[in-house]
Amino acid sequence: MMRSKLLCSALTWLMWTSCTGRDGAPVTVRDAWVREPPGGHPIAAAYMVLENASDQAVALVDAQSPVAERVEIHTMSHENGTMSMRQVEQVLVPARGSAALQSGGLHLMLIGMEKAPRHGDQVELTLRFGDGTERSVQAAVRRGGYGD
Amino acid sequence: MATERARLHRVYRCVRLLLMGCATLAACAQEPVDETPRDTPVALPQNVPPLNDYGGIGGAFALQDQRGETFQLAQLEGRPAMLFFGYTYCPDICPVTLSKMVRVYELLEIEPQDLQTIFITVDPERDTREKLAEYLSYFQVDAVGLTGTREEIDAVVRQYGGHYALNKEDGKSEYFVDHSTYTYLIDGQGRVCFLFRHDDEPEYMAAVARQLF
Repeated sequence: MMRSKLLCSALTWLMWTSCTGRDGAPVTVRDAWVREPPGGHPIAAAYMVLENASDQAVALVDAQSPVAERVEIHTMSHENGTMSMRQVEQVLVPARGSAALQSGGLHLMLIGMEKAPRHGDQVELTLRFGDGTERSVQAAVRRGGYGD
Repeated sequence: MATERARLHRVYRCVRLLLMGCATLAACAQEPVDETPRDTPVALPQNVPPLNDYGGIGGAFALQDQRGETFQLAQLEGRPAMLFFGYTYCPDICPVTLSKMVRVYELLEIEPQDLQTIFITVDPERDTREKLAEYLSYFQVDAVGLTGTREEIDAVVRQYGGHYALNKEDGKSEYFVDHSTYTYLIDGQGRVCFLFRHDDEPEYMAAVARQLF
């Protein structure tokens, strides 16, 4: 009886952490990846999809990585054939919706990395949200081609 | 009756073996098709716009390539080219453009030397010849990487109607560069004959460039 109770608690805890993250973040992350920098520069872009299962909009406000001096949220805009990249304060993930950080648009810039990440590496990212919650993800480094 | 049943059983066994054989053969025959989808010819879009005369932009120039040698369009001796401006720290646009060129070569079934990729840096301070060489070798498109003094590069950017701006911010050592993302199709006489936008797909680019072959 005691054993099954323990098992039950452990399972509940596991389900809770896998659904909500270590600190109960309502946002889950999928398809996180980092583009291997072709020039061997210690700087790289990270992409992912943020999904918000809660009834409240949540904003991604900050990100960090143990292998980068800093991580910035950037957006890209195309006007009159010129591409501009700018830092933005946050990425809003709508209630029961998602936000895509993808090539050609919003993305995270990992700046001042210890070394240029290589295909096959894993890069840890900790995302911080406006509600104070955090979520850590492992982003796989891979060669990014056309259509990624 | 018993022999009849035995006969039926034998027939049934034969049919089953035959069916199994057919299924195995079918699976074997299907396998290569699944593994090599890229070998199937891709129909390039029809009715693409004709090549155009962009007399106002482009033309001859001389810059240094990644080997330290002077490069001029005349050296291509009649071969067409695809030219664009960028920088090796570019996290997104430039790698995507170079990846698209790989696909254009595949679609046109040509070698990189048949349609020379030319990458001109707008960030000569950071993009040394060595960096250009390392960066471009990543893509296996045998691209020519060009650099020069800031004045030389500015002159070529102006000549091609391009635009760029170093986006340096106080207190930050790294910077990004806003830059025009057109890819210029250049014919064998060194004339710009088409402007591709960044969101043009490789199939479209290949179909337009095919008019030069």
